[in-house]
Amino acid sequence: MNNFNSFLRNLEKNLYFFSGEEIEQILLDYKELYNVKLESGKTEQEILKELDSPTQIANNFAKEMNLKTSSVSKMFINTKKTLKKYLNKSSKNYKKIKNNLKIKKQNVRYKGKNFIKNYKENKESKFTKEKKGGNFFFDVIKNIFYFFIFICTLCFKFIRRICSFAVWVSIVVLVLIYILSFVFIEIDFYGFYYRLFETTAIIGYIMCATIIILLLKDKSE
Amino acid sequence: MNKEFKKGVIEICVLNFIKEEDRYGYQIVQELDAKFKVKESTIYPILKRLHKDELLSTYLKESISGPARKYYKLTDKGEEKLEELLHGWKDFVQIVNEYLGI
Repeated sequence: MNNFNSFLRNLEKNLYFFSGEEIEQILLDYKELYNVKLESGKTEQEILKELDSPTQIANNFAKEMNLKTSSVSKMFINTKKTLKKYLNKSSKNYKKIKNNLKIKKQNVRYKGKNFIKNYKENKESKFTKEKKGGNFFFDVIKNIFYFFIFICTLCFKFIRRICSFAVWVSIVVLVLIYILSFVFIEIDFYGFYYRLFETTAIIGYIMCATIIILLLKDKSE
Repeated sequence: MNKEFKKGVIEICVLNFIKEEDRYGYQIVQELDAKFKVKESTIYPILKRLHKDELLSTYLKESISGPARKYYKLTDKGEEKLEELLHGWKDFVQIVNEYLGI
């Protein structure tokens, strides 16, 4: 503690369990005390030495007003704060993604109409940094992957006994990729993470649907 | 003076000290520090609680030098409470003294 101002700031932090007005009053009391002591010819350092520590003062206030300031309640308040911060941030992210989705949807509609044209354009600008429309290569892989999953669901009954573990692992991996792409969508320069996000979502839905169908089939048998 | 003894007594002393005359925070702190060796970190919370319980009222008064000071004044309720506490204290001391044979 070097000066009185930092003492006040520290005290303010420790009095978190009071309302803003009450904190103001207490700080005013301490300012008054400080001024009177200054008038009596004491230096700042001497006064600070005479005062108790901010935590001690806050504890005394809490005890006197019958308030609990256990470390647990402190922790709770802190986590609440961080959660609030996080929620604010994620809601911003959500809006961003929603906007992105709108734009991409428009793009997809456009793409469908001018698919061949776009493909040609893409082929031409393959080695330029400019990115227009969809990436055909990526689309093909996506479609193959969808087809593969479709086949898998057909053969699922036969390979289930061997593959059930693999299926679960793939679900976990998908979820992880989904979350990661969700996180990285903020630093998305080339739309890659967006695509990852989109595809994993779709794959996830398909997998969920197939698993539900299979479970229903199992039950009916 | 024993710490546990002080706790209960300070409230009576604070009320009594303010009853004599309206006082500002530092006066109360100084007086009690001189008599009982208690610090401001004990006094201010007590003053705050007494104010909250409407035993004390506050008002600002200009000082000759420096900014205005917050003065504490005993309310009617505070006076009643002080009477009650003094009565209780006398009885308590009497009983303890009798018990200890003082």
